[in-house]
Amino acid sequence: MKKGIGINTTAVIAAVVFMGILTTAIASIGYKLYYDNVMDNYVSYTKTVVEYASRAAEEYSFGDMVAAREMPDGYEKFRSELNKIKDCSNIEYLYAIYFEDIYDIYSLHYAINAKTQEELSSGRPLSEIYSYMGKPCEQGAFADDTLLILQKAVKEKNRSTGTMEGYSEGYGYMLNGYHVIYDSNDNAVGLICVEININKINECVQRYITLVIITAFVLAAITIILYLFYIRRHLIKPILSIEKSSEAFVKQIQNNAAPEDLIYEKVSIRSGNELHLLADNVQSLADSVASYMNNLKTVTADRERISAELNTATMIQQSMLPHVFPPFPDRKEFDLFASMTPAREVGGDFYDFFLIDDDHLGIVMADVSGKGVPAALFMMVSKVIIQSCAMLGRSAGETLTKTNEAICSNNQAGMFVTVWFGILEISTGRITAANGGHEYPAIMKANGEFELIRKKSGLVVGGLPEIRYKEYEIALEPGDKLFLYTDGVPEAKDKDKNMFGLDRMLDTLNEDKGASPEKILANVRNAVNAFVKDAEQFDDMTMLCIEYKGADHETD
Amino acid sequence: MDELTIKKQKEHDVLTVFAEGRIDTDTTPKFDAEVSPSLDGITKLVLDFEKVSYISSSALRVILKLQRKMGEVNGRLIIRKPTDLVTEVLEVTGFLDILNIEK
Repeated sequence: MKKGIGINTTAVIAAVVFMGILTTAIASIGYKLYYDNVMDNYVSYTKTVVEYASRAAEEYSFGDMVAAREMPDGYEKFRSELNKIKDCSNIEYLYAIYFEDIYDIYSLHYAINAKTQEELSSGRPLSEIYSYMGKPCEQGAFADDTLLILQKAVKEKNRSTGTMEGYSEGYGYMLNGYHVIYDSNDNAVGLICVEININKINECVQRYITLVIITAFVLAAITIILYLFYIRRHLIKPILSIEKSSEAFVKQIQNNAAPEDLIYEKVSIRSGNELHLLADNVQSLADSVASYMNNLKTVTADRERISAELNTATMIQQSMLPHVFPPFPDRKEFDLFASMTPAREVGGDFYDFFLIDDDHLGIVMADVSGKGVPAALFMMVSKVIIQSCAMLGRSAGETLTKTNEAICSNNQAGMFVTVWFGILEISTGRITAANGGHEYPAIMKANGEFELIRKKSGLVVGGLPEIRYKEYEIALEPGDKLFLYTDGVPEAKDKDKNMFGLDRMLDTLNEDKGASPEKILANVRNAVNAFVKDAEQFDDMTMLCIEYKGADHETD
Repeated sequence: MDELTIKKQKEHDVLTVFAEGRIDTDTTPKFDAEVSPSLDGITKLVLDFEKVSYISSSALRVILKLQRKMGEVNGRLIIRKPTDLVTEVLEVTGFLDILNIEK
């Protein structure tokens, strides 16, 4: 799997971005708060100075001097009062002004100004330093909107002290405080003004901001480094070790390591948090996978072993049934062919034939209830018992009766077997048969058709104890054929569960009734295969056909 | 559709089993599981096969087992109204002689 940006890098990038945002935020808020605060202080300081000066103006009746545009004795006393104020304060300018024509903002004139001791000792003549009553203000000393505000204050006889910020080319940023002057008739005649240079504020704020940014940056950097250190140790490192362990584990699986060699390297996490749980869970998941794969291996091995054993069982079962044809090459009196096709590896069907003596041939067709290994075990037992009883010279009925007794005496599983058993007297073609619940055989008399021999059956063998099986006889003439089968033939089903059926079976037999036993079996098998098509073979299918050729075909 | 449906009706010590469909190798385990555990205190077991189209030898094994269980309590097993095909299977396998058939 291709990795994107690692969790480590992501964490660092996130931290740096976070640090930048945090620093910017702190600086912006700090700037705003600091600026507002400093400005408030300046405003209030300005107002104080203006009010102090305006009180002095009242005391010296300065309003009357302005109204009369005169400079009496008190004029210079008032100026020295203002000079003291300016000396003691930290202001840039202190002066009084008046509009010659209140409707013309450009008719502004100075009434007086103040200077500090320091300014006075510059050596320049006083007439240059001081402004006297009636001196016109320099063009451009005040911005127009400043002039409008001052005009308005005079016109409206504003009693309170006002402030404003202004900028002009010659003076830079200034904070301007003003208060209207009245004469003794309470006419507004002019204004006392104070200006404070606030260019200094901006320098201050800049210094402050630089300090804040550096401090915030350093603090944020320290915090982030500590934070990164913490999450590296407690979050990233554990996750990376879980990732490393699980990747190693997955690699082992991809490289087809043997299940018992699968190792998930334990991740040790000291903290008791969710990561600990995650590590434990991943560990137990990996352990489960390993043990599951181990189990799977065992199960697979078991299955392979069972499969191998079943293959052997199939061979044993097949070899138990006579499977060399013709079975008795030197007996020309009959031709016999048989086949057994189990639905699974081993089956419960069987056929059998054996010479009891020179003149008697035992023929067995049987079907054990059930399928697979249990049926196969029961089939082996049944086959041996039937043959043993028959070889003792018992009749067909006695053989089944004895077999039933033997099986019933020890049948915990409740199994039973349907058996058709016949003994052919080779010299005469006479068959003595007994039927323990097995399908009716089909007989073809020479030149006739195959038809079922519907003789009454006894109960299946192994069903109930103390059953006596009756016998019946079949006389075979030369050219007659007897066809034996198990229910796997008529009950073969196509995928829609339709059964092949006895009628189809008889039709198939009669289509080529002159054929040899071997060909007849092949015909039936082909017909069944064509009928069921690709449906799974469901039941064992076993057939036997014997053609009687007559005693004339004697042994060479 | 399920190939075999079973309905049971119990009256005192009589259990009647109505089967419908095929009782073959596939469905016999279901038939066995439905009937065998319900036999406590039953002395008459009626298997109604009126709607059973086919029974296989595996079904015969279960019937034989049920017959034995009924025998152990001196009870009776009755096959009611078997269809022609079922009757034929019972006849071929010799079961017709040992079972009580009720037409």
